[in-house]
Amino acid sequence: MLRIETVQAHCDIPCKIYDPSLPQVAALSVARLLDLIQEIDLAGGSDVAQAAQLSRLVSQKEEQATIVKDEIRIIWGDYFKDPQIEAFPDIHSLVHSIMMTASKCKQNVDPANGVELVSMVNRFAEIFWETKGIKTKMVTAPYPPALPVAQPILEDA
Amino acid sequence: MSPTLLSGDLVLVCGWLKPKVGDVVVVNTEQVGLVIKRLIALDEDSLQVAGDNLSSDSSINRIPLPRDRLKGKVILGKEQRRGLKLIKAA
Repeated sequence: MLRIETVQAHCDIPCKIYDPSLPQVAALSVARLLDLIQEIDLAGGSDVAQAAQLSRLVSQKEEQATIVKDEIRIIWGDYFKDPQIEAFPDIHSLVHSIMMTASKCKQNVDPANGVELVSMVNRFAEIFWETKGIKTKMVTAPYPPALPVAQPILEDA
Repeated sequence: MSPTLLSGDLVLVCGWLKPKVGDVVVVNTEQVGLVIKRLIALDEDSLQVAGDNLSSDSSINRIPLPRDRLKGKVILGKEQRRGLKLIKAA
Protein backbone atom coordinates (compact mmCIF):
# COMPACT_ATOMS: atom_id res chain seq x y z
CA MET A 1 0.00 0.00 0.00
CA LEU A 2 1.25 3.47 -0.83
CA ARG A 3 1.72 5.90 2.02
CA ILE A 4 2.71 9.52 1.45
CA GLU A 5 4.95 10.99 4.14
CA THR A 6 7.09 14.11 4.24
CA VAL A 7 10.86 13.69 4.40
CA GLN A 8 13.44 16.43 4.80
CA ALA A 9 16.61 16.93 2.83
CA HIS A 10 17.77 18.70 6.01
CA CYS A 11 20.59 21.19 6.00
CA ASP A 12 21.74 23.45 8.78
CA ILE A 13 21.26 27.16 8.36
CA PRO A 14 23.36 29.12 7.61
CA CYS A 15 24.72 26.48 5.27
CA LYS A 16 28.37 25.71 5.98
CA ILE A 17 28.98 29.16 7.45
CA TYR A 18 30.83 28.57 10.68
CA ASP A 19 33.11 31.22 12.13
CA PRO A 20 34.78 31.27 15.55
CA SER A 21 34.92 35.06 15.56
CA LEU A 22 31.49 35.08 17.24
CA PRO A 23 32.61 33.19 20.37
CA GLN A 24 35.90 35.11 20.31
CA VAL A 25 34.09 38.45 20.58
CA ALA A 26 31.81 37.03 23.27
CA ALA A 27 34.83 35.75 25.25
CA LEU A 28 36.48 39.18 25.00
CA SER A 29 33.23 40.70 26.25
CA VAL A 30 33.24 38.37 29.26
CA ALA A 31 36.83 39.40 30.07
CA ARG A 32 35.93 43.08 29.75
CA LEU A 33 32.82 42.71 31.90
CA LEU A 34 34.83 40.95 34.61
CA ASP A 35 37.23 43.93 34.62
CA LEU A 36 34.35 46.40 34.85
CA ILE A 37 32.85 44.45 37.75
CA GLN A 38 36.21 44.61 39.53
CA GLU A 39 36.33 48.37 39.02
CA ILE A 40 32.96 48.76 40.70
CA ASP A 41 34.10 46.53 43.54
CA LEU A 42 37.32 48.51 44.00
CA ALA A 43 35.36 51.75 44.09
CA GLY A 44 33.41 50.34 47.03
CA GLY A 45 30.13 50.82 45.24
CA SER A 46 27.13 50.94 47.51
CA ASP A 47 24.69 53.44 46.10
CA VAL A 48 21.68 52.52 43.97
CA ALA A 49 23.23 53.62 40.68
CA GLN A 50 26.27 51.43 41.22
CA ALA A 51 24.08 48.52 42.31
CA ALA A 52 22.08 48.88 39.12
CA GLN A 53 25.25 49.05 37.05
CA LEU A 54 26.63 45.97 38.76
CA SER A 55 23.41 44.11 38.08
CA ARG A 56 23.62 45.03 34.42
CA LEU A 57 27.26 43.97 34.13
CA VAL A 58 26.57 40.61 35.77
CA SER A 59 23.58 40.04 33.50
CA GLN A 60 25.64 40.82 30.41
CA LYS A 61 28.47 38.58 31.65
CA GLU A 62 26.00 35.69 31.92
CA GLU A 63 24.68 36.36 28.44
CA GLN A 64 28.09 36.62 26.76
CA ALA A 65 29.42 33.50 28.50
CA THR A 66 26.33 31.64 27.27
CA ILE A 67 27.03 32.84 23.72
CA VAL A 68 30.57 31.46 24.01
CA LYS A 69 29.23 28.08 25.10
CA ASP A 70 26.49 27.92 22.47
CA GLU A 71 28.66 29.00 19.54
CA ILE A 72 31.55 26.70 20.42
CA ARG A 73 29.16 23.77 20.85
CA ILE A 74 27.57 24.42 17.46
CA ILE A 75 30.89 24.57 15.60
CA TRP A 76 32.22 21.54 17.47
CA GLY A 77 29.02 19.53 17.07
CA ASP A 78 28.10 20.43 13.50
CA TYR A 79 31.34 21.34 11.72
CA PHE A 80 33.89 18.97 13.28
CA LYS A 81 33.58 15.52 11.74
CA ASP A 82 35.90 12.51 11.50
CA PRO A 83 38.63 14.14 9.34
CA GLN A 84 38.89 17.22 11.58
CA ILE A 85 38.73 15.16 14.78
CA GLU A 86 41.41 12.76 13.53
CA ALA A 87 43.66 15.74 12.75
CA PHE A 88 42.95 17.38 16.12
CA PRO A 89 42.05 14.64 18.63
CA ASP A 90 42.40 17.09 21.54
CA ILE A 91 39.45 19.12 20.29
CA HIS A 92 37.01 17.32 22.62
CA SER A 93 39.00 18.09 25.76
CA LEU A 94 39.54 21.69 24.59
CA VAL A 95 35.81 22.19 24.05
CA HIS A 96 35.06 20.68 27.45
CA SER A 97 37.62 23.01 29.06
CA ILE A 98 35.97 25.98 27.34
CA MET A 99 32.59 24.90 28.75
CA MET A 100 34.04 24.62 32.25
CA THR A 101 35.89 27.93 32.07
CA ALA A 102 32.86 29.76 30.68
CA SER A 103 30.89 28.36 33.63
CA LYS A 104 33.57 29.63 36.02
CA CYS A 105 33.18 33.07 34.46
CA LYS A 106 29.46 32.86 35.20
CA GLN A 107 29.93 31.60 38.75
CA ASN A 108 32.44 34.15 40.03
CA VAL A 109 34.13 37.43 39.20
CA ASP A 110 37.81 36.52 38.92
CA PRO A 111 39.21 38.38 35.86
CA ALA A 112 41.81 35.63 35.38
CA ASN A 113 39.02 33.29 34.25
CA GLY A 114 38.06 35.73 31.50
CA VAL A 115 41.64 35.89 30.24
CA GLU A 116 41.84 32.10 30.29
CA LEU A 117 38.55 31.84 28.40
CA VAL A 118 39.80 34.17 25.65
CA SER A 119 43.00 32.14 25.38
CA MET A 120 41.12 28.85 25.03
CA VAL A 121 38.70 30.20 22.45
CA ASN A 122 41.71 31.55 20.54
CA ARG A 123 43.14 28.05 20.45
CA PHE A 124 39.80 26.72 19.23
CA ALA A 125 39.83 29.37 16.47
CA GLU A 126 43.38 28.43 15.46
CA ILE A 127 42.38 24.77 15.14
CA PHE A 128 39.20 25.65 13.24
CA TRP A 129 41.08 27.71 10.64
CA GLU A 130 43.84 25.12 10.39
CA THR A 131 41.24 22.47 9.44
CA LYS A 132 40.45 24.72 6.48
CA GLY A 133 44.12 25.17 5.59
CA ILE A 134 44.05 28.82 6.65
CA LYS A 135 46.89 30.21 8.73
CA THR A 136 46.23 32.49 11.68
CA LYS A 137 48.10 35.30 13.40
CA MET A 138 47.83 36.74 16.88
CA VAL A 139 46.82 40.39 17.03
CA THR A 140 45.96 42.63 19.95
CA ALA A 141 42.27 43.47 20.25
CA PRO A 142 41.93 47.21 19.50
CA TYR A 143 39.63 47.73 22.50
CA PRO A 144 39.79 46.97 26.22
CA PRO A 145 40.90 44.56 27.59
CA ALA A 146 43.35 44.55 24.62
CA LEU A 147 43.99 40.83 24.85
CA PRO A 148 45.64 38.76 22.11
CA VAL A 149 43.19 37.43 19.51
CA ALA A 150 43.78 34.73 16.88
CA GLN A 151 42.68 35.92 13.45
CA PRO A 152 42.69 34.11 10.09
CA ILE A 153 45.03 35.38 7.40
CA LEU A 154 42.58 35.68 4.52
CA GLU A 155 43.24 36.47 0.88
CA ASP A 156 42.17 39.78 -0.63
CA ALA A 157 38.84 39.69 -2.50
CA MET B 1 19.70 17.44 -2.05
CA SER B 2 19.71 20.06 -4.78
CA PRO B 3 20.07 19.69 -7.73
CA THR B 4 18.86 16.04 -7.62
CA LEU B 5 15.76 16.89 -5.61
CA LEU B 6 14.10 20.16 -4.77
CA SER B 7 11.68 21.11 -2.02
CA GLY B 8 8.19 19.82 -2.85
CA ASP B 9 9.30 16.99 -5.15
CA LEU B 10 7.45 13.70 -4.81
CA VAL B 11 9.54 10.54 -4.56
CA LEU B 12 8.75 6.86 -4.62
CA VAL B 13 10.60 4.96 -1.91
CA CYS B 14 11.02 1.21 -2.14
CA GLY B 15 11.60 -0.63 1.13
CA TRP B 16 12.38 -4.05 -0.29
CA LEU B 17 15.14 -3.20 -2.78
CA LYS B 18 18.63 -3.56 -1.34
CA PRO B 19 20.31 -0.13 -1.38
CA LYS B 20 23.94 0.27 -2.31
CA VAL B 21 26.40 3.09 -1.82
CA GLY B 22 25.54 5.91 -4.21
CA ASP B 23 21.78 5.40 -4.01
CA VAL B 24 19.41 8.05 -2.72
CA VAL B 25 17.75 6.70 0.42
CA VAL B 26 15.38 7.67 3.20
CA VAL B 27 16.58 7.22 6.77
CA ASN B 28 14.73 7.76 10.00
CA THR B 29 17.04 9.80 12.23
CA GLU B 30 16.68 10.46 15.94
CA GLN B 31 17.68 14.07 15.40
CA VAL B 32 15.33 15.22 12.65
CA GLY B 33 13.06 12.30 11.73
CA LEU B 34 12.71 11.12 8.13
CA VAL B 35 15.53 12.43 5.96
CA ILE B 36 16.38 11.92 2.30
CA LYS B 37 20.09 11.78 1.47
CA ARG B 38 22.61 9.93 -0.64
CA LEU B 39 24.13 6.79 0.85
CA ILE B 40 27.92 7.18 1.07
CA ALA B 41 28.86 4.24 3.30
CA LEU B 42 27.15 1.01 4.28
CA ASP B 43 28.19 -2.04 6.26
CA GLU B 44 26.41 -4.70 8.31
CA ASP B 45 25.78 -2.44 11.28
CA SER B 46 25.87 1.16 10.15
CA LEU B 47 25.48 3.60 7.32
CA GLN B 48 26.46 7.17 6.49
CA VAL B 49 24.72 9.68 4.29
CA ALA B 50 25.48 13.04 2.68
CA GLY B 51 23.64 15.61 0.60
CA ASP B 52 24.19 16.27 -3.10
CA ASN B 53 24.37 20.03 -2.60
CA LEU B 54 28.05 20.77 -2.06
CA SER B 55 27.34 24.26 -0.78
CA SER B 56 25.28 23.05 2.15
CA ASP B 57 25.85 20.73 5.06
CA SER B 58 23.82 18.89 7.66
CA SER B 59 24.59 17.75 11.18
CA ILE B 60 23.60 14.20 10.18
CA ASN B 61 25.96 14.08 7.18
CA ARG B 62 28.88 11.66 7.49
CA ILE B 63 27.75 10.55 10.95
CA PRO B 64 27.50 6.76 11.45
CA LEU B 65 23.84 5.81 11.87
CA PRO B 66 22.47 2.38 12.83
CA ARG B 67 21.67 0.32 9.76
CA ASP B 68 18.12 -0.32 10.95
CA ARG B 69 17.45 3.39 10.45
CA LEU B 70 17.40 2.82 6.70
CA LYS B 71 13.81 2.93 5.48
CA GLY B 72 14.21 2.43 1.77
CA LYS B 73 15.73 3.34 -1.56
CA VAL B 74 14.37 6.19 -3.66
CA ILE B 75 13.67 4.95 -7.16
CA LEU B 76 11.48 7.56 -8.77
CA GLY B 77 11.01 11.29 -8.37
CA LYS B 78 8.43 13.71 -9.69
CA GLU B 79 9.69 17.24 -10.04
CA GLN B 80 7.30 20.10 -9.41
CA ARG B 81 7.61 21.66 -12.85
CA ARG B 82 8.63 18.71 -14.96
CA GLY B 83 7.76 15.08 -15.21
CA LEU B 84 8.87 11.85 -13.69
CA LYS B 85 12.54 10.99 -13.52
CA LEU B 86 14.53 8.04 -12.32
CA ILE B 87 16.71 8.78 -9.30
CA LYS B 88 20.05 7.37 -10.36
CA ALA B 89 22.89 6.12 -8.23
CA ALA B 90 25.87 8.50 -8.06
